[in-house]
Formats: sequence, C-alpha cells, structure tokens
Amino acid sequence: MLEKIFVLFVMFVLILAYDVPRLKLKQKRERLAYGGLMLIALYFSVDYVSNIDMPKLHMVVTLLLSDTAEQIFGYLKAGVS
Amino acid sequence: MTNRESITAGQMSLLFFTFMTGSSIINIPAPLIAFAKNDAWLSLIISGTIGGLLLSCVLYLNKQYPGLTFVEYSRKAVGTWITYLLSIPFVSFLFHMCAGIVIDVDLFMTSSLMDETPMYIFSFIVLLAAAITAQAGIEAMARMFIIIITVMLCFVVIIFLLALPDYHPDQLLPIMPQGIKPVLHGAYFSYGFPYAEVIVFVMLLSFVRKTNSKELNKSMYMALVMNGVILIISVVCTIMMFGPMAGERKYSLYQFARIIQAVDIIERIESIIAMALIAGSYMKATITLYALTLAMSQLLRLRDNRILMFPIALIIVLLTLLLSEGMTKWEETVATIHPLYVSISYVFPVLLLTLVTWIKSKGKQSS
Repeated sequence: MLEKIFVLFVMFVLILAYDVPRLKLKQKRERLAYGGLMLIALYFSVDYVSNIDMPKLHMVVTLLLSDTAEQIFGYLKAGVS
Repeated sequence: MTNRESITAGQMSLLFFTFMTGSSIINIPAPLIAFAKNDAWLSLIISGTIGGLLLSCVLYLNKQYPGLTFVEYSRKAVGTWITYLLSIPFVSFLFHMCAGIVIDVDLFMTSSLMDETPMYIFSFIVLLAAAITAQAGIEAMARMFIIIITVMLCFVVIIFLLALPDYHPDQLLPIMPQGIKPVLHGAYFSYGFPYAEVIVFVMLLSFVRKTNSKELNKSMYMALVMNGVILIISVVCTIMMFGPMAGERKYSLYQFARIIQAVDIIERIESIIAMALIAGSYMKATITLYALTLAMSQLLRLRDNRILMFPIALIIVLLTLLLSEGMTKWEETVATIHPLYVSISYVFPVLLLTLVTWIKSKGKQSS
C-alpha cells in the first residue's frame, strides 16, 4: 500500500509541477476542467490504493452489455470444436 | 485551440496506417487464429471491408463539414444536447481504448520479458512518452511516426523472410472445415479491434490542409488496404509456421521470432518483436490520447486543448491499473464486450450523423 501511495504521489507531483505554472495563465473554464479531471484521477487513485472496487463507468458497461455480448459470442462459437 | 496545425493528406494517411497497424500486427494473430483457425485471413477480409465502409462514412462527414471535428459537426448536425449524449460513450470508449492499448503492453511485458516488474512502471512510462509526444502536436507526431513505423515494419518483414524455410503452406488448408461460423467469429473480433477503431479519425481529419483534401480519400483507402495486406501476411505466416494451433500460443508473432535461427549468428531475435509491440502501442496510444484530449477540450469549449493532456494521461494510467485483472480476464473482455461496446460508442454516433447529414443535404438539393 505504501508503495502504491508513493508511486501515485510522484505522478501527481510531477504533473502538477509541470501544469500549475501554465494553468495560472489560463481562463477560469480551463482551470475548472483541469480541476475536475484531477478529482477523477484522485477518485481512481483511492480505488487503486484501497482495493475497494469503487463504482466505475466500465462496470456499468459490463453490466449492460455482457449478456448480449455473451449471446453473440455463444452463437458464433456454437458447433465449433 | 490555441493554434491550428495542419498536415498533408499523405501524413494523415501515414498516421492512420500507424494507428491501425501499430499494436494490432502483434496482438491480432493469436486470438484471431484461436477463433477462426486457418481461415483467419478470411475473417480479416470481412472485417477489413466493414472497416472500409466505416472509413467511407468518416470521409463523407469530413467532406460535408470541412475543417471541423466530430464534436463540432455533431453540434451543427444534431444540436448541442444530442452531441453531449453521443459524446459520453464516445469519450468513455476513447478512455477505455487508450487504457486497453497500454494494458496490452503491460501484460506482454509482465508475462514475457520482465515478470518481476510492477505494471505501473510500464503504464507510466508509455503514457508519459505518449503525453509528451501528443503535447508536441499532430505535425510532430506525423513526422516522427514515419521513422518508427518504417523501422518497425522492416524488422517484421525481415523476421518473416528469415522464417521462410520453416513455413508449411499446407497448414493453410482445408478452407472452412467447420463452416462459416469460425470465420464470422474471427471477423466479429477483428471488427472490434482494430477495424471499428477507424472512427477515431473523425477527430483528426480536419487537420489535413485544404489544398490536400482531394488526395485524402485516395490515400486513406490506400492506407487501409495496406494495413489489411500486412495483417493478412502476418496471420498467414503465423499459420504456415504453427498451423491452427498458433491460436494457443500467446503473442504468436513473438513465439514465431523465437524459433528463427539463421547461420548460427541470428537467433533469439524475439526482442525485436517486443520492441515493435512497444513502439506500435506507444504510437497508437499517442494518437488516441491526442484525439481524446481534443474531444474533451471541444466538448468543454476550452481554448487550449493541450492543458488537459497530462490529467487525462494520469486517469488512463490509473484505468490501466484498475482494468487489468489478469491476462485471461482481459482477453475475454476484448473478445466479447469490446466489439459491442465499440459499435455503440463509435459506430452508432457516426452512422447517425452520416444519416442526418445525408438527409439534410438531400433536402437542400431538392429545395
């Protein structure tokens, strides 16, 4: 867990060190968009570090599509040894 | 956008060829042969034809809305709110796809070359390189990738030539011993990866110089045909080497290179294939990351499309770590859910926009 936290800390620091000086020159809309994306990154970081398996869009996609996808897959596979 | 870049039609088709061939030349043969056995090349012809039809939709939209990207012309064609509705799956699949490209590198490296190294090292390095390159812009990408793809293809061709004595052409026969279903299964898989991914270029074709727009269609179709030919050669060579059992070998092209031994000094050249996979995936990830950042910036109506590059790359690094639940699970996802997901996220919005644009242009003509 400590290793994961350290790796993520390094990634965040590197990105912020590069982007913050540039962000100061940008408009409010750009700063808000940047902040929003960093919040999403933080959410995924918590998920990665804690192994809680928090809700993700990918899970919704799997839930919605997996049955249909498996039916197609099963149909194409049927009768093939 | 801060400054509008432009590239020639030839450079765009080269980017397109790189995007389509980059990682698929290594990743496609094994699973495709597992599904379609020695008819895998027929599957590629079917899925390549579908890819050609999708490309014609992309080129039609580009012709109808010159200089605009998917997000911009979607706003024009169907309005702002439907654009947001269509863009949510589009953008989410771009995230998924970019993460998938990097997961392929991660799984390959940890299963074949450096099994003690943690996956985040590969994810971070590949995406850092991709983000820095994408930050340099599409012109820099086009100039740089021509060198990498040429070297990569030369290596692959040399490997195919060195293996000539080991080919058994009789392994290609019989054709369709189990009927059409395995061929369709292979086509379904290769439609999802890489042919439906043609749609990513709805975000990039607007960068072609207006003076070159007439040549664009021809060179893009040429790039798609070249990609099809190279993938078919790669699959046929793999079948001639290992037979239908090639599907059971992970990264069959890598295993293929391992066997080559020529005049006692050329052996263990599989690392060249490993380098080709990394280079190909890096280039594809860069193009996808660029398209994704551009799409996000245009959806959020930002002036500078590059400011979001690194946060998006960071999200993708985290997605690769969260989505990769082992090789078997990932292969299953790519083979089953990926083709359906890509149809909903990429193909449906583009077909809808093509239809709306076509109806509108017919209405204009008749009035």
